[in-house]
Amino acid sequence: MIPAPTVHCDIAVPTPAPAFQPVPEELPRQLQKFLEGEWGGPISISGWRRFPVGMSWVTIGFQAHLRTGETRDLILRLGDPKGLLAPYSTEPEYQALAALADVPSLPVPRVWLRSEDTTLMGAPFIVVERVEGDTPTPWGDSLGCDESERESLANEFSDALGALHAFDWTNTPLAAWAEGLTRENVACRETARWAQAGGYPDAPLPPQMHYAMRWLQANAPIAERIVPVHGDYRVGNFLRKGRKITAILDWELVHLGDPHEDLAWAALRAFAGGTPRIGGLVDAEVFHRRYTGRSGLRVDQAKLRYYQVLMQFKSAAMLLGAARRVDARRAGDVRIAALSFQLAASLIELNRLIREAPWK
Amino acid sequence: MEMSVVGVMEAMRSSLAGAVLPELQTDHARGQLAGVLDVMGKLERMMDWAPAMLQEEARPLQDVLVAVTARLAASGHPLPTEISAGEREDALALCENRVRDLCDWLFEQEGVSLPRPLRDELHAMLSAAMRQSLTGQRNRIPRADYSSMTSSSE
Repeated sequence: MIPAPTVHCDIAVPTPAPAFQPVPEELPRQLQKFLEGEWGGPISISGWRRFPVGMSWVTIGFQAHLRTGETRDLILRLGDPKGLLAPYSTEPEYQALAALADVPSLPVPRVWLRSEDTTLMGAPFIVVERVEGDTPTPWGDSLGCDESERESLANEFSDALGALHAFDWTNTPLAAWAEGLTRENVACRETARWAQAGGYPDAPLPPQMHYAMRWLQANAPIAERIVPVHGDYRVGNFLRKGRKITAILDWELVHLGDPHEDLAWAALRAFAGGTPRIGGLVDAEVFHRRYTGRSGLRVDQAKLRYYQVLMQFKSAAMLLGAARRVDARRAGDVRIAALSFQLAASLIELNRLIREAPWK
Repeated sequence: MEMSVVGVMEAMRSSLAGAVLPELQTDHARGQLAGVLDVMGKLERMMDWAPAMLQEEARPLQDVLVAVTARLAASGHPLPTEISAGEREDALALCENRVRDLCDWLFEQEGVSLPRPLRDELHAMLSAAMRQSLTGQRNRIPRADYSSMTSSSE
């Protein structure tokens, strides 16, 4: 961007609403009061620490010391009303983590409490168990593991997704999510969801996105099975300790859908760290083979190509939504503005994926 | 560009004032940052996206609208009059509106009178034009370093 200095008329710039301040001095006290109401007091809080990651939820680690003498190592996640995908609800994540608590091969944090009451701390929030481990990402050297460690993580990454998609949700609270959902309409509903996230129809989509939306509607496949879809399954959203995945994180986009959504999202080029591997971690063939072994679900290559387009559309919609937030002075994090500049690159990738995908 | 220069500058000023300024330890640093904020506030009211950049994005879209109109006319399948090629001097926003209308019309031709090879040709022309328009924008934007924006020292 090369700014062209041009004299404009004096334009009054409206003062934006005060930014959500997730760590004011009273926040620990508010949390303490909430926890005492739920667990019985007195409770003291220590080790308060905000993590810098993410542009959606504010993540804070702390310890809660209960009257029983027990200390709980916890994570507080607040849905920043100015976050990337605001407004947020804690309900999907809470229900998913509760339902998936004991699924073999699918480590998830224990979920404790949640509230949608924004009068308590200014935003909906959820309290989960703090799990040990670090968060490797595809960028830089953070995967930094030897070959046997990488292979172990790759296997666990594949197994966890297979376990999720094999989970029988029909007799759990997740069944309520299936209202109006059919194998025939899952793809179009997801397309509509992300078009809306990009501001459509209230605001026009960029031509490439508009084209993609029409392409997705015209080429939508029928799902073989409807499964719980993580919604943001990728390298960067799990904790690892050595060669083990200790928890799959960031479940706020969880929903029911076609399993190819998660397979395609994990494989987006943006998450590959410049490598040919999925997430910089695992070859696609190995990932699919292991996933099929664990889930019993076949990876349909034609559907995968369709969902690669849909997932790239979703990624672009997030960036577009971010750009619109910045323009409306509703972005609470300047990194959202930085992210928004990547929209053109994302749309070029969308263009390529459509050209290479099979058409009906 | 989906963001205005004013919006971007405002986001930067808010971040500097709200998240960085309170963390500074010295008077000198605080004074410097206050100066930066002041200058940014002034520039914010003077700047806009470079007209040359916007025209670079518009041109491929203008060209494809003209080319598609001509191609259809030559094949005996004219575009509906409400979807016109417009003028070459039209602003980017106007071109984008027309391209969206063309997209809608083209996808609605599935199973209608437009022969499949011609439809495929038009899709290819549209795809190439959108790619060219986006490439012009992308080439001006360096890759972002997200790891530095999300790293933790602890």
